[in-house]
Amino acid sequence: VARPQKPADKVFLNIPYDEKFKRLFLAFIAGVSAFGMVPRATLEIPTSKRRLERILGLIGSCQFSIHDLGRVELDRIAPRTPRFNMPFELGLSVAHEKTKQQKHEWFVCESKRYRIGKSLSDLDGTDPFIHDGRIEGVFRELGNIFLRPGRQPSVQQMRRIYVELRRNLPIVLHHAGSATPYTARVFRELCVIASTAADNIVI
Amino acid sequence: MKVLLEGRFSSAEETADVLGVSSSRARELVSLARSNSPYLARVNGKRKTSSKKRTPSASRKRRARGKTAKAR
Repeated sequence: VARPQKPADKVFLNIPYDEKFKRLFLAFIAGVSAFGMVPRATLEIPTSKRRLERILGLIGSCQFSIHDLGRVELDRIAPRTPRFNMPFELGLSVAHEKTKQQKHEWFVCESKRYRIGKSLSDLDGTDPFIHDGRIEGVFRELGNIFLRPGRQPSVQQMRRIYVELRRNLPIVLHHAGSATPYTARVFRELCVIASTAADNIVI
Repeated sequence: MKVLLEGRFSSAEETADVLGVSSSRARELVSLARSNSPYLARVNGKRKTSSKKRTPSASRKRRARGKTAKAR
């Protein structure tokens, strides 16, 4: 008798929500979906006083988290500040892994080699996954992190899922009345499209 | 060391359920994805392929030339 499989794994994506990162945002959704996992993000959480608790709840509901610290530079809007959300949520994930009984594994991505040693030296001894700020780099590094025997997606298959997302993005944006993919509704719908594509492309 | 995934491969329905997308909207998105793509298009639930092998008709079989073609 075949054992019923566990529910699909969920991955908390801790990534910057800015225009320059849009391609990598889609690449992360495509790549995570290609492995048959469900992407989750703080985009799903409405802005409110209880936001921090909900972020903790979201991290707790995921088996894995991926933290992209590739955009740690100062932003252009005055007063110019670095982005603290991503390192902060990485800290929450590390604390969750250390204190809770549930299984949680976290991974750090960077676009530049050796930079994390300077920007976040507390992580010395942790090897970040360097994607070079390229979508192929994201696919390559996801392939270095995860292994799905019998259904391991290739970089080319992840690329095809990404192309499907790009093709459908304008329709999803139009339907949601949004100009940006960084909204809860658009994110959720892109994940469903990516999952459809993954189920057909990764065989 | 790579992480071995033990959970099942998520279907579009399961993803929609986890993310709180309504089932009717999920169906729309699945058909949108399939209709928009040469990779994912389906007819009557079966994957549409351009290289479908066709069985030759009886008259075409009679007119077939060569040993290999006649043997089919």
